[in-house]
Amino acid sequence: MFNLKIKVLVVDDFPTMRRIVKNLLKQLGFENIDEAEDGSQALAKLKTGGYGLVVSDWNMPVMEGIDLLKHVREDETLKAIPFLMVTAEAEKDKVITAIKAGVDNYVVKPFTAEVLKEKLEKIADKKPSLKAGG
Amino acid sequence: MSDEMEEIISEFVTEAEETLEKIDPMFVDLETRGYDKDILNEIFRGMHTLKGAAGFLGFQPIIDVAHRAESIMKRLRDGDMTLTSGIMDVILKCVDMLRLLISHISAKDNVEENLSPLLSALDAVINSQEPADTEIDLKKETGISSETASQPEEVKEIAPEIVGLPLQTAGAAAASASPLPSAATEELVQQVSKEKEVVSTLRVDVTRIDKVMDLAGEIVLARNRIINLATKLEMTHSDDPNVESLLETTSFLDRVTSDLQLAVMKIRMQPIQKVFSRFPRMVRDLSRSLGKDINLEIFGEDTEVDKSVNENIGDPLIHIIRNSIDHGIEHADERIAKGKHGKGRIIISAYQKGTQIVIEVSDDGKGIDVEAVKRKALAQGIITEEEVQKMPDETAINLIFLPGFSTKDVSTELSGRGVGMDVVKTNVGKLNGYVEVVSVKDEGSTFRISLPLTLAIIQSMMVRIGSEYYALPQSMIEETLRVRRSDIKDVAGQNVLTIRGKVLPVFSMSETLGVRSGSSKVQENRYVLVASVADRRFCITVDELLGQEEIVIKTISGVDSEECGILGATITGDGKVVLILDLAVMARRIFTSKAVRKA
Repeated sequence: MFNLKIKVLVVDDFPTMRRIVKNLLKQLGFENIDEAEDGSQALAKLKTGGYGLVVSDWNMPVMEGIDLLKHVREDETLKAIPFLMVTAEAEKDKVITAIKAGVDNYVVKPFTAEVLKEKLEKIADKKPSLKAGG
Repeated sequence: MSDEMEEIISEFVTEAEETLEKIDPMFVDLETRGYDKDILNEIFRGMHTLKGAAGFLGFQPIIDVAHRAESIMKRLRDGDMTLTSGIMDVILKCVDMLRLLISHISAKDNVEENLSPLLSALDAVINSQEPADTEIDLKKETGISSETASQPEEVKEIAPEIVGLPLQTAGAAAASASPLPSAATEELVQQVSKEKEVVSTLRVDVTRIDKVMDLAGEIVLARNRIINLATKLEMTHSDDPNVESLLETTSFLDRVTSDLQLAVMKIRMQPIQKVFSRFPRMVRDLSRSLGKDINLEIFGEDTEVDKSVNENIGDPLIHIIRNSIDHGIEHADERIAKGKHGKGRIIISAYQKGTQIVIEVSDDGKGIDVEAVKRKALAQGIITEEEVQKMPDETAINLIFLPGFSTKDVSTELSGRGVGMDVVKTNVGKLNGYVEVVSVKDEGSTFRISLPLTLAIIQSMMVRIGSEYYALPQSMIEETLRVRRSDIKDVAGQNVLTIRGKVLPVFSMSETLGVRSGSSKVQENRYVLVASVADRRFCITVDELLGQEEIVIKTISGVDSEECGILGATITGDGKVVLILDLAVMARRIFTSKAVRKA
């Protein structure tokens, strides 16, 4: 199981999407969920510290998900943070780019709570901070 | 369906509508500018977002349409495809279809649209090069990549293979990370996020706001009554210290109520852009179908108007614009023969003027033939021969707004301006506004719609006519005067009054309304209101002026404002129900019909 106390940051420019992702995370038991509208806002929030997981959309104005990911991985204090990228199938070819930039895993829209759980479990195998008691 | 789900869906509908509204004018921009990566990307993102959210909510038709539109936008953006009018038409149809599909979700009507023609048109664009009904190319065509966007099914199969990858490469990628972003970038990032926080908004159900608006209206009425009572008490019990405190409290209540009213009014205000954003597309489509070349210019789209104005002004404006395109603006050859620029112009503007919102639609077309309007009105018995002689052109043009002034057979003769113009006037009238037209032959026409800033609460002038009290909207009254009876002169059967060198016609309210005037006949002095309606100034006489009052308009069901000249009713400070007179209707009646000529 996951460490459900960690603070999760959901990044998406479309409010409905943020809400859907939040609901799915809640279904998995996460309680502490914060939101950001785009990469730059997300980065500013992450820098305030205390986040244990980022679930970010790829396509956003101002700063795209991939740029957010790059910034996170380049930041000494943030680079270990588990990062799950939400993509659409059309962006599949770009997944490799995300992988190279250090994404922990990705999930294709639309997805269920079950799929989200699987993806997070895969991340948790590598990043114990996401695990219960981790 | 759970409440949560209901809420998510209703949020989705609102956001989807906003997204489509935002991208709609971009298409027209795109068509004029040709390739613009930013705009293409913005439209792509809109489609992409819609598809993503629709996917979670299981709205398959939206996914089908948005997915294809997204693929096309992506290829346009990446330069794999060149934008042609044909492609543009198909994408615009997509936007329309998405809007329709969203409206079905919103209405929960379970109506299914037949998507296949649109989907095949989209697939034709995606698979081949252009749709069958392609017209003129906007840009020189370049080689179009024949590869199609990958299908979702294929992709899902590939997916598991890729998943394994990140786990090996992630560490390496992190290790080879480049240095931290500079302090300057960080600062900028923080600045941006701060700015975002400042403009944070709250989405509230309109019914809740309307409830607050209603209650504010009731408070205004209650305040008026309290002021009234307090003033009376002051006269009878001026020595009571409690009365003094009451007066103080009342004046405080008065101020707070006014502030509250203003604040509530502002909640309901929205930029008129919501309405204007439809027009570029409309003008484009219509002018294209008529083979005319028209340039649309829009000004003042950030002017804020009441929500109900935004909801109701669209149709009248569409009507006017359509008329301008259809009958006002000439074909290029005709224009050039007249020495005009081949490309027609339509200018739509909105601005605030005092307590009114003015919306203008101007064209540089052929204008309205005033003589033809007069002839028609005469033939229909709306005006008499004598009136035709006296009637100035600017008054005559406004005859087109009369309901009886028909239409079809006149339309060619009159540049079609007669068609349904009374509908425009009726709709604008519902918003307590008025519409007027200025037109010069071969130079063009301007339709000007003037609307009050707020619809629910107005400043009014209370008057007595005969034995009855009436309220008149203050916004149309310029000043009030008390004149000697002998100051009103008779000039060729028309009573006039000279005010600061200007001669203005005078009309008696009691005669216009058909009520018996009280004691006015024996009075030496007359009370005169100088009214200004649609740039026309005139005087009306009343029996008594009772002062100004802020009133809440309550509409009376079953009463046609146009027919009886009554806007509605209100409850005054002393608890009386009084009728609110519609000066715009009065003015039209006075000037355009065989109305009373004597005061």
